[in-house]
Amino acid sequence: MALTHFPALVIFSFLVSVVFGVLAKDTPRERFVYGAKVFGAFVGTAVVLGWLMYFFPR
Amino acid sequence: MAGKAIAEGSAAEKTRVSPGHPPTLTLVRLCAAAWLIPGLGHLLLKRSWRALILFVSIMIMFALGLAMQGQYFSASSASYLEVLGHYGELCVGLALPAARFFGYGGGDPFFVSSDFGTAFLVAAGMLNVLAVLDCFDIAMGRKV
Repeated sequence: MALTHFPALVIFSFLVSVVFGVLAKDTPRERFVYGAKVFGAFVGTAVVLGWLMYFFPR
Repeated sequence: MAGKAIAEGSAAEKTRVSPGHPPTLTLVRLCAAAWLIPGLGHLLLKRSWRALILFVSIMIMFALGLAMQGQYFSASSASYLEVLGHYGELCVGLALPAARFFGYGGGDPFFVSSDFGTAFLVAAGMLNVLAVLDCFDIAMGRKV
């Protein structure tokens, strides 16, 4: 299965966020909120760093 | 099963541990079960939903790693990072030897998604380590 960078990033972030949310919090609501924050942090950080590297190609 | 064993324990083991802590042997068995099959430790502690979510998430990550031709690292590699990667992949438990048994030869380094696949394989192992530690904390009464 060949994946490009962004789908691989999103799938990876989603699975890790699910596990982090389940392990780190106790109530379903807390888990959802924490998992969503971790997912957003993963994807957001990667997009921001990607754009930063775009301006410094070498 | 293990939850019952934790509650009971043998009289001899109870004398060696502080009050409230499960016997060491029970903890070792629990952590070994959690390591071999992701989520099994939580299942034994009667955390069924948590066990199911952990099992599904970690197995999907591992399966995607295989589908993307992730590489198996060797313990005898000259690179420390590859040796660490080998132990990281081992942390996923029985899934690794099972994949090898069913014919997965260790990936194709020239496949376009191979690097992603390798990251997925190692990450699956690392997530399982977190699950084992969580299982240990629950058994010790530090977590709900």
